[in-house]
Amino acid sequence: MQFASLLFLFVFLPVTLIVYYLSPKRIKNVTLVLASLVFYAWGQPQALVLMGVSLVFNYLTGMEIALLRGNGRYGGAKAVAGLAVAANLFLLALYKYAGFAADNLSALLGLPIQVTQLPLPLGLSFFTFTVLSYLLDILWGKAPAERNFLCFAAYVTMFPKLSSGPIVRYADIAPQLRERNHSIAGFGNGLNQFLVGLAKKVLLADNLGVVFGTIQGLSSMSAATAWLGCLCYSLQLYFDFSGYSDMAIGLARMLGFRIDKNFDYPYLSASVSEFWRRWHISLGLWFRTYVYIPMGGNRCSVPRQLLNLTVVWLLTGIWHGASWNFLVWGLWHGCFVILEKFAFKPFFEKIPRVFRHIYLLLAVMLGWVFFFSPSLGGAVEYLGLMFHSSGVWLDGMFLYQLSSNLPLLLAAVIGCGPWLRKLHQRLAYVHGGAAMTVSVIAYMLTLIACVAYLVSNTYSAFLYAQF
Amino acid sequence: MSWRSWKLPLIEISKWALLLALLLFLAGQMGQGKQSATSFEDMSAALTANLDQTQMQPADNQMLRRLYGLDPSSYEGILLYYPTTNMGAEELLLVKLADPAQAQTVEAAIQARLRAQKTSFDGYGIEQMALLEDCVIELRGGYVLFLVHPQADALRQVFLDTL
Repeated sequence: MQFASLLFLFVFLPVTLIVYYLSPKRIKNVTLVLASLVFYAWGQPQALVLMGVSLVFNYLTGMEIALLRGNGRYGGAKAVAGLAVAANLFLLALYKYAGFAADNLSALLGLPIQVTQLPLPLGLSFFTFTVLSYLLDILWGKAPAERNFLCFAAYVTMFPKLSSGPIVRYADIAPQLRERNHSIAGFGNGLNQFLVGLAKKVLLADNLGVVFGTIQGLSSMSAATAWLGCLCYSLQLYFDFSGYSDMAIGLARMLGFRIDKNFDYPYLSASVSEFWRRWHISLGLWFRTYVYIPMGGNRCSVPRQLLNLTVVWLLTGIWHGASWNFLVWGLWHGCFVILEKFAFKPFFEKIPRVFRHIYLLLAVMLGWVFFFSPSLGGAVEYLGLMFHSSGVWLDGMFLYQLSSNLPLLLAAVIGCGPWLRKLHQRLAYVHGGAAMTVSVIAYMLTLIACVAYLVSNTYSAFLYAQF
Repeated sequence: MSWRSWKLPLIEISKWALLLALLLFLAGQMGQGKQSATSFEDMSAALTANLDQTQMQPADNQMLRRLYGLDPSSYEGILLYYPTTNMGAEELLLVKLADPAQAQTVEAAIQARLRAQKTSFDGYGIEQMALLEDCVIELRGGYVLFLVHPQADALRQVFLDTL
């Protein structure tokens, strides 16, 4: 089920909220788990078996690790955790990477290796990282094992974050699983954030996707058109995923949970390292906490640091999808992070921020070409088009697409920064009065526009749901 | 022995039982999810050869995006026939997935299209509603098939035989 769908907005969400708020406090988690399982099973009921078995297995493993640690058998706890991590990663690999591995092994060995590719269950990558965080936090003593199965199930399956994150660390949310504050103000804030996310997805991302789709479908294009296509995709991906994250965080808030932000205006960054502290923050934190730091982080020799960073960025790339494109995309970002850390640092401080910002935008936009292209060859071809391989700098298509989509592009560029939010906060919350009324009307109009758009348009999945 | 001393062995036994159940489930899923060796061209040819196209027309990529929101370049193959008039409901969508992970996106797009069509014809298009109610959605062997057609059952059989 998608957040940006009429079924979710007008059936699932209202019913869930009504039942949730009518439920007594002690069974709120039951309501949340049941709603989350319905959300998860929608269109893919067989995945419930996988979810159920995985939930019980990881719950029991958490208990076992805690018991072994309590008995002073840290070696045993480590072995149990290692086995469970391997089992969870095996499942992820089987569903997500088996086909990719088989294709490459076939090509390498010259043998016809075939595997049955299984349909990827909703949010498996996010789900796996969530349970790994739980098990490793217990092993390292950062959080106690959850004794209440319902609390554990609510943490793992919570529908706002189930399909595409944010990846919430167990230690961060554990207290809220037992005691959380339900208030009208909190609900209202959550609803506001949800509406902002919905507008980002439906009004901006989907329309930018149409422009990008038209450009990508062209058999030939000028360099300017290729750059425009890349710009549209860069903006589409940002509004699609940050829109989803806003909706997820807003929904969680409506249910009484507080989840940290997942995006912090990443396109305003002035380096790739800064970009990754502001883009998909929860994934970056996950890799830092559970891969980079345990490998030694930056408290080791330079060659070791280089190895650690390379591993992290290779994993970041392959986490996004089983293809060489994502691997190259991960390494592309990794190279910039390494260069910034070991080579660019002395120069960076002397360069005006505006130039560093242009550098960041170029690095990220060129990286997205690997992200959206169906193959490495396709990516190289598109990059060629961006650098004049067609022999045409400017064509009529560029002028047509730019002029007909200028308001959309301007709105998207403005939406990449905090200016609208700050203006709204200043007007509505500082001045209040009539400005607050205008704000409420603006939110209602946004909802109406989104619904009208959803009714008249076709289905459009979240880009990150496939990861 | 006390309950405490039984706790760890019980957890161990339960976990191994769960792992066994999971392996059985995965084996079952793998049995069902075998990829078809039939090429997209052969499958398209088999279906269109048996398709009464008097009420339908082939769609280009733009129409595919408009009606289903799917990006044709992301799939190994995609074929859409859609109604020639707004009063028609006949439709055929055949998708060969490039990656099984795409199955959910395609199925969701089909469900959304189906809902939109039902909303359009609800209340006045009795024949169209009947066709939509009897539609066929099949996900097998790396293919997704969506059929709204009076011959839907026969075409489904052609699809299954060709896999």
